[in-house]
Amino acid sequence: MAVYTGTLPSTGAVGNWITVLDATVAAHANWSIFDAAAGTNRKVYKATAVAGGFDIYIDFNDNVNAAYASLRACEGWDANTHAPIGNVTSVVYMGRGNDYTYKVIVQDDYFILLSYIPGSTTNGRSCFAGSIRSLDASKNMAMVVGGRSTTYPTKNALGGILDSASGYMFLLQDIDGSYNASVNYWASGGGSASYYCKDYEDYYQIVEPPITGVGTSSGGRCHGRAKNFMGTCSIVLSLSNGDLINIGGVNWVAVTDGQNTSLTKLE
Amino acid sequence: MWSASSMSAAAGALIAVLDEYLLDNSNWTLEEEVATNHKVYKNAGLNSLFYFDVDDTVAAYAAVRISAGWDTGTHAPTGETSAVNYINKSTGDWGMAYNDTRLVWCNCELGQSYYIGQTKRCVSTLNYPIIVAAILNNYTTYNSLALYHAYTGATSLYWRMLKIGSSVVRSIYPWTEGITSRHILTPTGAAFWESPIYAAVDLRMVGWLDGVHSGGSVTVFNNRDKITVAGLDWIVLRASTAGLTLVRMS
Repeated sequence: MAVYTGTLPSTGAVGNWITVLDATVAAHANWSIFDAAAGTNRKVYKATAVAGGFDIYIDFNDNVNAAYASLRACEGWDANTHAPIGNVTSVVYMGRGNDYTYKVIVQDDYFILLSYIPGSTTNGRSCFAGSIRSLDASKNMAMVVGGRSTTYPTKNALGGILDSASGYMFLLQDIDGSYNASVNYWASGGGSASYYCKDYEDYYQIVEPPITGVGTSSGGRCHGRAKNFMGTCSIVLSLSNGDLINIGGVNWVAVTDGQNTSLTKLE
Repeated sequence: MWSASSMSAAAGALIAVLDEYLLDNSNWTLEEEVATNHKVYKNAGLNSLFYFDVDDTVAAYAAVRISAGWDTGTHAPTGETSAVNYINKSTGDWGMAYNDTRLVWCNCELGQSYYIGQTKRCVSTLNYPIIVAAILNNYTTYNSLALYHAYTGATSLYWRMLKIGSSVVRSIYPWTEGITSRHILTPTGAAFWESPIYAAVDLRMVGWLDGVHSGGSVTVFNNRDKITVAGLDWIVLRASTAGLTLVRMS
């Protein structure tokens, strides 16, 4: 596991995120660059299967727009033809932000990108790529979370529970075996009060949200839980981007776009 | 502890069960017999002290409330007190999950469930008992502990917490995922959690329902289905109106 912090360039440009990923995700012992020539400013990063799970292939295309990149999860990847093998998820989007602070959290089977201006209460953004806490180890539940479309790269997808129109979450395979399943937080759809997570002693209570089918898709089933992030409410918690909350000796960082707020574990 | 049997809907039927089973737990005692079929039970579990007033003098329902104290001289509650609400009775099977600090009453016949006592508290030293029951006495289709209450049922069902020592009675809610959609089931069993509870107005997390999942609409499980998760049995309570509850049978 590793947490990296840095600053994005003053002028956003395609390839910025690839530079960061190469120095962070690819530096992790369990991750590698599987295809460095998937395209211009486009690479495929691979996490080796953990504990009998599945290899994870993340196709990260940082040549989409100066303001944002896109990513998707793939069942496999052919480094010769530079094309996916088998099933893929839909793409989600991750914004950049000139001079924004970034954090990259890398674990054996996932990475999270965060980008924000410390102290601000708007424009924080985030994405997730990797495994969830799956309820069925026989399914390849690689997940990507990010902006829903090119219209929303500046939204904070990991906190996208108050504004579900802006974030997207896809499972490569859901618990029913369906591929590219659109999923959501268990807690989605509630009001701001639903995500207040302080107790009466003013301590934060972390609840990693179950990941479920959207609406009645997949029978509305639960596929597993999010790993080390949760959505919460910035409004009543007065959280700003980059705020650190110490829970059990480990910091969680707040990111908010003014509407969608997340807490992400920094380890 | 889980007890279950069958009962009638007659006056005194609920009291009879509480006397026979609930009082087996030494943390629950009879505080006062106010009248025939009207009793007040005291809970004095760990960091818990509240009174459970059960007026079971008519058929079909019992009028219930909880309070911080009870005056046996005036036969009335003292301190923080919930409104009088109702537990529906019907002829048939009942079940009750109870421990040192809470009880969950299940009308298995109609798929209804009710909660009295402490949650699994975030702050274990705070004496903040809750009551989940029905606002009116003629509800035969609502399941009070189901997620349904948070939406269109909000005016029909009663979820309150006594902040004992603060002179406050708060509305409470489970974390919600929407009323009609996600019911968090897996093909091979169930994946659910003891519902987190937060308080309205001050928006604090209170704790988790002890052995209870407050669920939304469901199409897979039927009333009285049993699910075994990690060696523990849970029963499905599903009334005819949307929403289900899973209650741990222990």
